[in-house]
Amino acid sequence: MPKSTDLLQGTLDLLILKTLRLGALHGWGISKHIRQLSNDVLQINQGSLYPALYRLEERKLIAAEWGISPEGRKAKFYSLTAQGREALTEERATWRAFSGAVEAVLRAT
Amino acid sequence: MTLFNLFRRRAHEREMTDEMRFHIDMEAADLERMGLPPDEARRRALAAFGGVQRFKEEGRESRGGAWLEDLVRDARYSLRSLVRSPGYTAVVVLTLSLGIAANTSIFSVANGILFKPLPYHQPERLLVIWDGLEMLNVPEAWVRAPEVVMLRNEAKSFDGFAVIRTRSTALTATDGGEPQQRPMSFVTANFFQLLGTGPDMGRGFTAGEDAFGAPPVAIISRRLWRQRFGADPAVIGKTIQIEGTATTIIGVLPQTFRYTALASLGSASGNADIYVPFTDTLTQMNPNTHSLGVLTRVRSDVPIPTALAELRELGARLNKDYYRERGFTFKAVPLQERLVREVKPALNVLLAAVGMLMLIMCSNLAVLALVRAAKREREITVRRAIGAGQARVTRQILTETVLLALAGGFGGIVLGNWALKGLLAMSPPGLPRREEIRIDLTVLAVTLGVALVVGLAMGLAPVVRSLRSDISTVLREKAPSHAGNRLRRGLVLAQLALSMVLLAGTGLLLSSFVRLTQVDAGFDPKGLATLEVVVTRGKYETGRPVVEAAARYAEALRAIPGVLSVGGSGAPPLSAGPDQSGFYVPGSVTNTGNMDHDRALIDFTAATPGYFKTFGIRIIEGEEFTVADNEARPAPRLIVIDELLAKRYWPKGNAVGQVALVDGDSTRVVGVARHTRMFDLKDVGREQAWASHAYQPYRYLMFGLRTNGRPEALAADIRRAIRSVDPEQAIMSVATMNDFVRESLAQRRLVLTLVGTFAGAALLLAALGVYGVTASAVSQRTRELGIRVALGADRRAVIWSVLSEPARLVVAGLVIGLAGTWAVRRVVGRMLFDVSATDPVTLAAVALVLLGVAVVASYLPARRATRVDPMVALRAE
Repeated sequence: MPKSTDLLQGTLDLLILKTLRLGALHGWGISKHIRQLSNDVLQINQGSLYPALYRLEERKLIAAEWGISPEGRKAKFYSLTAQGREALTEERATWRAFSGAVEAVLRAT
Repeated sequence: MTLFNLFRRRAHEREMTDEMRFHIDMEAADLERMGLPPDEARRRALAAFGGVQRFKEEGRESRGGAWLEDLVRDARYSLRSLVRSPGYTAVVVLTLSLGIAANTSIFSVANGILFKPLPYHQPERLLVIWDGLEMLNVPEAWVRAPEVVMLRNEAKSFDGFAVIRTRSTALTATDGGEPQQRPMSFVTANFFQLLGTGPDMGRGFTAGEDAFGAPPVAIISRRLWRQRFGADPAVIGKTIQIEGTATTIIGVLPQTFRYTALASLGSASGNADIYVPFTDTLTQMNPNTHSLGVLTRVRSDVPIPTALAELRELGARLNKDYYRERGFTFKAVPLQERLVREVKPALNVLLAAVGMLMLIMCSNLAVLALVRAAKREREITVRRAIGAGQARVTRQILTETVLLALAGGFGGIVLGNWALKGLLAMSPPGLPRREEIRIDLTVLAVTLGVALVVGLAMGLAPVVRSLRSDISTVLREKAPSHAGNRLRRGLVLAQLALSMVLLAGTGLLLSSFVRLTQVDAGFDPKGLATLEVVVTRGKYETGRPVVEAAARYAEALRAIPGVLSVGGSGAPPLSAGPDQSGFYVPGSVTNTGNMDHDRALIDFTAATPGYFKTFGIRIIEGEEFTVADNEARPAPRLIVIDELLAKRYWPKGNAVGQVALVDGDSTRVVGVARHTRMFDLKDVGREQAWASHAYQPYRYLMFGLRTNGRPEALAADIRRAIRSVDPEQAIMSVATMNDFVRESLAQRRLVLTLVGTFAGAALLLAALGVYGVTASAVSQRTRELGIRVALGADRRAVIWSVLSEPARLVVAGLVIGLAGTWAVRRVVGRMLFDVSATDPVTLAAVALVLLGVAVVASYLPARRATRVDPMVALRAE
């Protein structure tokens, strides 16, 4: 179990950073955004989402702030930090290399 | 950062809850918009979110400082669960408190005496030097004056050599205070410099103040300063009357100053209250007398082995030049080692005993923790089943036991402080370094360490067990499983074995003690009152006036109603006070021409007329000194010798009337007396002779008064009698001979009491262990036993089937315990008297005691086995 979680975690981090690239969002917004963009393929487990958010916050890649949602409710908004932006670029490159490699292997067989 | 997180935890927790609620609300609203009814929408939102608690847990763990939060949570959880089982908690904390208190108090004493370095600069370089006269059977004799001169002139590895002589002295009443007797040391001017400490008020001695004829000066102890001078800050420069001589006080020593005076052969004799310069000129002293204590310090730039090698070399030269190759050596003993020598064996025994008790206690607590874990097995297993890791469960168990141990440690320190006070109150007065014994940081650190180790050790058993247990088995079973039985039996076995060792130690100490109290020490302490005086120096000149003063005191004491006889000596039994003198009988039939064989080093002192009769020392041949001997002029040189000397030099038994040389003086033997133990009940000691007081007019005398009544009742009369002769005469102590006997047994009595108490506690714990093992075996076999009873099995056979297991355990414990006793025989061996550390009678008796207790402890629960009602037993599962 832990191994696949690790893989997923790395991917999840990338997806979160990418989503926040567009602007500050709350946790639910992030999960909905990812779900919609992936055509409901990527269903994010909330139990993974929030720990991932806290971890990213801890690593100072994203910042959190309490604000008011469009529905008028108090919600915690996450946004990308400068560090986060750099990390996103890096992770994206890593992911591309990784998925390209997997793709190449799959094609070859 | 971690701590900060911890403080922020509450805020963070609340934020998580808010965020989570927001998420679920939004999700539900979304689902509602897709046309679901509100209830269903909420349900699905919740389901999609997953376990709320797990989410929180993971959210927490993704933050730093999780371990600390876990610890706090574990501790809180443990506290709650401990509060829910107050019986268990109370038993464990109380047991631990008692055990740690015993440990702490004994360790405090050992630390203060054995481990802490002496409060001097580089104390390991301080050496006490003795003359090693192995050929005369005296491994540590005082040093002769010419040897000190030689050391001072030739030894290069040392900072100098100080000379010390200690004796009791009288402070006379002319300075306005009560006449008092105080211990005084004569020391050379370099004494304080060598120790590297000195007066904190006034100054130390300067070179020249120890020259003959220098104006008399003295340095006094803090205690004397307070008691005699009311802590007068202007005491420096005032005078104090010492044995009738006006002496200027030049310094006051700090409270912490310690230099325990040492008797050659005897025990450490306490701290001096007065230090005066040693003014005798070494070159003018009798060169053949062994009379000086010597202290030295190895130069800081010389390795200690080099210094010791130099001493050996100088000793070898003396051996050739003076001792005619008879095997003389200089003995150098580190000061600290010499100070603690008399108490070290006792402390080692106590440390070992308290350590064993601690181990037994640990294993007992481990059994308790095991039983508790068995009761909670399902709870623990359920927690594991729903995902708690083994590490987490282990941590939880250990948190609980360590928490208990810390509580016990705290209680132990509180109780230990009292125990230590009691211990010091009970300890013999000669205990060295008493002031340095206290619960200090070292002791606290050790106590904390012990508590932690105990906590971890007692938690270990349930942890090991929880590792082994299989989740599905436990969950399927209704009753607590029986895994861990073997572990528990092992722990009880250890308790039995250790108890056996402790009991054996107690048995051996007890039989030593009994034998000691039955020793024939050569005198009769019953009905004997004593007092010590030193005939004042400034008032009575040395010689005849001292003899006459002593005679007048004796006469006045004899006049007290109820007193049958009076007599005094410079070194009564158990005083450790005799001098050592050379004894030689020219023309004895036993002489071989070899001086080591022919010349004896004997214990020598003086006795007044009536001494032997009064102290109950039987005269075997001839008679004791008479008043007429005392009054004859010039005083005849008369001696009484003991039976050992008589047998050695006059094996045919005609010693009386013969001539013997004592330190070269020609003397006549008037009587042969029983040998008395002058140092200690346990040591026979050397051969002895007594000079008549008129011939050796000692100033220090202990008088004995034999009475038919209670000797304690004479105290006031004794003081009055002495005052009536000389109101300025200081009286050092009024006591009874039985007090001295008791005092000489005090250390053994204390050790015996403590080890006995430990052994009793150990036996109780082991008995509880056996009881517990048997009882749980019976309860686990209720069904089987019930069936057997129902089928008509013999009562005795049923009991036996239950008892066979504890019986095997007890026998194995006895065997291992006996092996353990053999293993520690050296530790206890040095405390034994007249009994071997493997004495079969004692060991057999002790084994029987343990066996008896174990039989009772296992029979009680076993008997229950036969009372099992078959119907109840069959329905039990």
